[in-house]
Amino acid sequence: MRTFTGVAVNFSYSLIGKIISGAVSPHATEPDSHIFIFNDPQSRSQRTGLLLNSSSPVFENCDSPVFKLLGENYVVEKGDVILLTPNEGGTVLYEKKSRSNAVLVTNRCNSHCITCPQPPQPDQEDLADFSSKIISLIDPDLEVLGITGGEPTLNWEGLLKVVSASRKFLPNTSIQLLTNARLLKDFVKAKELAELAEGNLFACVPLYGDVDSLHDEIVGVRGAFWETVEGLYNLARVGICVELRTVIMQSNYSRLEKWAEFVYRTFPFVDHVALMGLEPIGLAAENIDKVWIDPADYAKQLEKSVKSLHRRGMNVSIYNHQICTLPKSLWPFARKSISEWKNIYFQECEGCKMQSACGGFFHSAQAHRSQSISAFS
Amino acid sequence: MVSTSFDAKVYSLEAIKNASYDFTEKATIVIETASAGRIQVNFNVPVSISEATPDSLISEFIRLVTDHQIRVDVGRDYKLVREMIIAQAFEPVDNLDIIVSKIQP
Amino acid sequence: MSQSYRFLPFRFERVADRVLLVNDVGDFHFLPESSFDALIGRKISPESSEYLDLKSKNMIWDSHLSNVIDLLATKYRTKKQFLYDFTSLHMFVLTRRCNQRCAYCHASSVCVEDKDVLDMDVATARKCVELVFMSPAKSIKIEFQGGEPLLNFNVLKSVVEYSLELNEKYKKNLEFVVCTNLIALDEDKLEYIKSNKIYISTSLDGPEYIHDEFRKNRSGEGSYKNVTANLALAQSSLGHDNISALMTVTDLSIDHLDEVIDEYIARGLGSIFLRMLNPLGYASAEWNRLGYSVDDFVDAYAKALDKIIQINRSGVYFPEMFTTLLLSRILTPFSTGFVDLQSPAGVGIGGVIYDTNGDVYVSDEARMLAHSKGDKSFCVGNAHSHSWREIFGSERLREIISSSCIEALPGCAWCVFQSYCGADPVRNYAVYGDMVGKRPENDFCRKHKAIFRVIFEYLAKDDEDIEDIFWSWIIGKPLAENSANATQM
Repeated sequence: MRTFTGVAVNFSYSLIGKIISGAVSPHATEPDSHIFIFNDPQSRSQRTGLLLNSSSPVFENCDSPVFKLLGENYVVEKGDVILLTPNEGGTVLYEKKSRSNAVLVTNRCNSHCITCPQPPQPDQEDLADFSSKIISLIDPDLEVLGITGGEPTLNWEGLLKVVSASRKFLPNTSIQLLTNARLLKDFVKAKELAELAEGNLFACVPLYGDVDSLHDEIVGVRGAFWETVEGLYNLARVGICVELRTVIMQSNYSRLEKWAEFVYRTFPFVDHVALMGLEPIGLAAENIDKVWIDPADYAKQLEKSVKSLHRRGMNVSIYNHQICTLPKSLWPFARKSISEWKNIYFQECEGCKMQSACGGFFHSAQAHRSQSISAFS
Repeated sequence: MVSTSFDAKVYSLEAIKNASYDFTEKATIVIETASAGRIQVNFNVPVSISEATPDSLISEFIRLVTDHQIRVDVGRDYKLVREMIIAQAFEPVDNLDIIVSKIQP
Repeated sequence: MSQSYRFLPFRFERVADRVLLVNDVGDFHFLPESSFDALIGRKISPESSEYLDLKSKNMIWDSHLSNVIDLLATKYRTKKQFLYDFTSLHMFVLTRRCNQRCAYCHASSVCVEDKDVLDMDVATARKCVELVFMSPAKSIKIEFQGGEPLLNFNVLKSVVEYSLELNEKYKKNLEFVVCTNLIALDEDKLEYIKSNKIYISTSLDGPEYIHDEFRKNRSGEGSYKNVTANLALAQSSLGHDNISALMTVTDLSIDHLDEVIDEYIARGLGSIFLRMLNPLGYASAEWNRLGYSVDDFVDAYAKALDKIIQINRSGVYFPEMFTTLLLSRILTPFSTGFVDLQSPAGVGIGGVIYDTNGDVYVSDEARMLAHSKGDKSFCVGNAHSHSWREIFGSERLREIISSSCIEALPGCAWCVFQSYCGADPVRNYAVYGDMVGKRPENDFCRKHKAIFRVIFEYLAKDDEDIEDIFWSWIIGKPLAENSANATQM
């Protein structure tokens, strides 16, 4: 998430607010402030505050909260939801122009995936309340809101709270739930979720292998494969749409084609299948020697599996891949999936004509990226 | 009349019977238990296809019996599982894991 | 060393120089002979890719048995879904009269002008429609047959209109199909067919000299010119996608299927159905003149399929429909409705046919048997005198269906193609005198086994172009149209 620094004036507690006017940027002259609204926990009413450009003078006789920005690395826009913490700074919790906004329900997880980009940690507070607050401020024209973690289903009551908040404040938004679906092997839970979401939720579920031993090895829990399988069937039974995902790595790339066939024959109901490149961060970075495989080295397997799913009429996408690492036949399936704030390009990419169609890299690709990166001229 | 015999300890009557069923078009078969734990198979070959030599006929039959013996053996291994799959398909139970816990790989 | 895995239910047979394994839910896998021996001897190493393949395809298990059983049960239920879609195909014999006299007519149609006796009347039609809507199936297909159904067009209209009226209450997915030789088609009928979205299924046996040899009008002239002219008319009015044709292979055409295929493509037909002649109706009496052996048919079918695949390779989308049906059985996890090849048989539970007088038969062949031999063994009631419950809950129907569970029939029980096949007890009865029909000598069985073998030999090639073609047939559209349409997230 993007952060910025600044000085808090007239407030001594954390505020979550939404920018409702103006555009502050280091180079803008007019206007040089914007107003945000927030729910004041003390007066229990909605109040407004000001976010000021570093060059603006602080108004005299103003008792509203004011946050005076320092430095030049910040741009916030109307509709963004921000967190302001005195002595710590500001964080953009929701970025209106981004297509990949997500809220957290918990940082805990019941799996230990060898490639986890955000390793689990204990929760200091109930993140669901915090996330519900964010949701209550988001403009209701949002198309997709992500719910992620950790494993969101571990904080079941919290997840339900966040889904209800989304239904209440964002009735036209579809909810994208990132879950390993293991706890959804309990049909009652799957049903409860479906009833609350009223058809506005789809689940993105990772399944890394076509056999239990392979998947369990990757997620670090014996029995996880079968729990996810049961969870997937329950999602289908309650009518929740499913995107099935895999991350391609050393231990599973050679079975990609078998995986594709298994997915079709076992879960023909999935709405979308996503084959994802590795993000070399978090545990994936720690385990890089065990998990890294150059996309150029699995191009053939990837091509076969994508074609296999495609000819069977399944929707299939490739995420997190640079176009120059893919055979041309796979270009129509490649999506620009890397979040805007994570996305970068390298020296090798200079002058590349395909950059606008390319997903680019994660920041973490500084250390690990394909040997076959080259610019299209 | 052509005939051959099988060791009853190795080959089951079921495998021999099933092979005989598949062989119907080629010959009429009479199965009898012979002495000393052997099963005797007598072939009555219709004249119309009698150009097949007795040897080739018998080796074809033995191949069939061998495959059927595998089917019988493998079938014994999965018999219970097959019944449970079909039962579970039409009348699912909740405590399947307890029921099958005694079946070991 | 012996490995600790156990077998899941599968059947096997040697196909294309390898061992083909198929399990109860239709997953299949080819193994080299040596690997098969290792599998049976429990010598496959858990680290090998072969081991993982066999696990992935549900041929063996080594842990989590209750999960494995649940998974296979779910897949089994999906495959047998047709059992829950109880009786979705409803065929109406609108008349026994026909304006053609085809040498092989399975339906024993007659060409006399005795409408009172040979046509379905409006009162009977309405009774039958009421029975149709008692079916619990969500999707209902009403198929008009004959004789030539266009000769009793007023009753066709009354069936369509009464069905639409009842469907306002029942809200089924309702479809109409008319099986017609097209000869009696005129502008008015075409307009009605178009406005009610009635699908046309017609017959074209090939180029003129083949078609006209057996498909003749009453004065003995071939019907080719008339049929093709009306086909063009219908295609331009309804669109090519709403008309399909089947061809009946005869002793004359069996060596010329390539010409038949060329004719179909030239006529703008988007697919073909190669139908083997059955010894039913008039064909039974004329078998010596028209008939051929199963082996001859399968040879001709294999050659034709090869040509059809070449045509598709060249970029023309043109499926063979029987192959497509079997491919859907083999390659998809879904249930496929085709009443002539189900287990338990589709008779009564998948489809049913209403004769002109309201008699209800379990299948088209059952009605043909009654007309050609006077044998009403498979008549399960009459729309005027019996209720839905009396007909479809009858002891007789139960008996017929239970004789057709191929899982329990000798020969079928170990047949590697069983998961994809089915039985037709009526045909067995008509040809062999009993509903089970001894399998090794049974033409129905031999034909299907041989065709499955042809198809699996293609699948064994592991040829991506062939897979693309086969899947385009299953999906029902050219692969190019099945474009990358994944949503961006």
